[in-house]
Amino acid sequence: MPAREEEFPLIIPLMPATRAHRVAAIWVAATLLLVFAAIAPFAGIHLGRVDVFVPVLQTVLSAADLLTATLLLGQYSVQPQRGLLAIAAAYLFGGTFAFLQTLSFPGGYAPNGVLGDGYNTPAWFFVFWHTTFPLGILAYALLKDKAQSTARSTRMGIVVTIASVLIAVAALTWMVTARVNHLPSFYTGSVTLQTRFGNQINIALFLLCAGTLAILFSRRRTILDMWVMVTLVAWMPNFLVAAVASSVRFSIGWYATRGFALVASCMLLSVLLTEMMVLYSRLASALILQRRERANQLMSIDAATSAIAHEIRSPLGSITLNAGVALNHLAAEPPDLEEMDTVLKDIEQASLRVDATITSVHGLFRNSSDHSGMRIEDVARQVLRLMQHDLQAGQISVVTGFADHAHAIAGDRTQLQQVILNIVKNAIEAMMSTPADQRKLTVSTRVQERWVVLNIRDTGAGILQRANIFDAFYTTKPDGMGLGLAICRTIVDRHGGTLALVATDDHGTEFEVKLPIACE
Amino acid sequence: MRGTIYLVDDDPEFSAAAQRLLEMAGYQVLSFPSAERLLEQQFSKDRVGCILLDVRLPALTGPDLQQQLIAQSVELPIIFLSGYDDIPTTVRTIKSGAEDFMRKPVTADILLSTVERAIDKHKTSQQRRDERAILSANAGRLTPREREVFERIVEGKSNKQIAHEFGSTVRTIKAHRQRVMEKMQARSLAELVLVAHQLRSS
Repeated sequence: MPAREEEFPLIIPLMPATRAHRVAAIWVAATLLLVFAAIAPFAGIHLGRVDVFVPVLQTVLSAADLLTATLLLGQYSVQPQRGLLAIAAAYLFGGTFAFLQTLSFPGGYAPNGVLGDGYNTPAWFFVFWHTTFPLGILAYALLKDKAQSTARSTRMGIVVTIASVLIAVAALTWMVTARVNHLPSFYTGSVTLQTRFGNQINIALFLLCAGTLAILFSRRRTILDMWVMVTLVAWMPNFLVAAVASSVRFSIGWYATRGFALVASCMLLSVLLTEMMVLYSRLASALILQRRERANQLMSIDAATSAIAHEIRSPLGSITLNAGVALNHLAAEPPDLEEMDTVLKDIEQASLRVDATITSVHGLFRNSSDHSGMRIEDVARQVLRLMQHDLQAGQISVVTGFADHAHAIAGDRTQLQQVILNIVKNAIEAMMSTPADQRKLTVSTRVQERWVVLNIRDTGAGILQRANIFDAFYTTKPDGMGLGLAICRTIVDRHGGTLALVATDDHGTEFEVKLPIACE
Repeated sequence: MRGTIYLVDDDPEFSAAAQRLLEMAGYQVLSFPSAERLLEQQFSKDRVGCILLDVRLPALTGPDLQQQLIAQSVELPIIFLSGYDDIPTTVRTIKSGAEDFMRKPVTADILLSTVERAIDKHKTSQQRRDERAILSANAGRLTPREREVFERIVEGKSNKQIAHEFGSTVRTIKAHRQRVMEKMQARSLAELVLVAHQLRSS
């Protein structure tokens, strides 16, 4: 029912991780760790100094992080969940510090860096970057299951977050550029030798990352959790290489960990973009289906009203003509009272017939959200009554075999009527090529465990390609749109049931509608 | 007898009411529950009448029946009676030559006047058909030479011109002319021209 659709999260960060996502995440993490393990023994080997490596890689990385932050803020504006602000802040910090580090990196944009001393400043930026990011993730992990905030406007939340991040970045930047001499040093003499403090910092960052990962792991639920965890896993080698192997710039380990950082950065971005496309296509197809459903409903209302018009106007026609006859008899001299008696009795009968017709079609216009105590047998009878004329016109004999003890089902009467109407209409069309004496429509119901099962069987030509009859736009009719069965299946699905083609050959076709029995 | 009405409707109540009314008005009514039953009927060319036809009928529909009747060159006018307004069907049947298309319920007066008009038309067209039949029978009795003379007289040529054209005498042409007038039952030249026109338009 529609309730299921409403519960489905509309933004990616809230979507529960599917099995496919879990498998993919584990594969990526495992691959990263394997690559790391393969590289670890050679981490200390120095390679040539490629100055352009850092600016190019980190500029891309920074752009990816800032884009991710933008997407996350966009998601927040759809569904204001405070955790989203925290993780967006993490990516904002990551993006800006990555770029600032690139600016300060010696041999990057300038021989000695654009910012700071070209020595300890980039290292400090690295530390800030790798502290603020896990802290943001940690905040997200702690906030994510809290109820969504409603007090502040979403725009305010976004502005405050961005402003706080920028202020913090500005303050820290000032500290590590103007005041870098007062801070502990990471390197002794050359950038290829690390101090003890540098090692300790790297271990601290590793522990922070691991701690955050552990907390997030214990609270993992959504797609976002899953991929942020993979991102953290991709980061860990960074610190291990730096701390354990005492690795410094331009070694194999250093190049590899930079690569890992880029992979980590782009991962969530690509997942977000992919999921957005998936979500968008779902939305688009839902909209298309809804539009078609509406058109189909209009068509069947049109068919129903013309059938009703015929049913009612025929007796009205006889009433009118009989009234004319009666008037003529009245004008005769002497009035023919015996004839008038017959004529007036006929008028009475015809009026009662109109009344019976209206009573029988009344159900069609009853409140369609009337969920209580509907029986599929009644719905089927109503449809057969409505199609009576077409069935007669097609010289089709109708056999009904309904279950003795009818069970109530819950659902939308009009929609189920459409399903049966559609199948019956198809059956009538299929039987037009059958000899008239063999045209037979069998409608039966039975109870099977918790289900009411409705079977509709015809003796028509059968369907050649049974595989795709439920696909939208699939049709075997020259003037059909091919929407009927696709919509029927959607409707039955929504009622928690199934619609299936159980048999089709030269001798006929049988459809089965299975609906759950409503709880009494 | 004012004419024969062929009533085709699958609703017995409506058929009964219409039959009652039309018989009271002095028509002979033949009622059929389906189109197929009507087709079993032998239609006499000399009987005036019309067909009252429902659109929705079991198996063969009203418009289908109309096409079959056209194919069998049954010239009875058809009046459609339908339970609902279906513009495409209405247009199709009228274009195929239906006399009228009425929606149920229809009052006795309107039904009777429509039927009367249809039968009058049928009568007139039958008379015209009969006249034309006589004319062409007359024309069939002319000899080839008389036919040639007839064509030239109607074109307005004088005996002299015709005689010149055929290389014969004015006397011979005069004799031919006399026989043409007799055989075509025309009393004057004007009447002969009119007959020629009627023959040509048929």
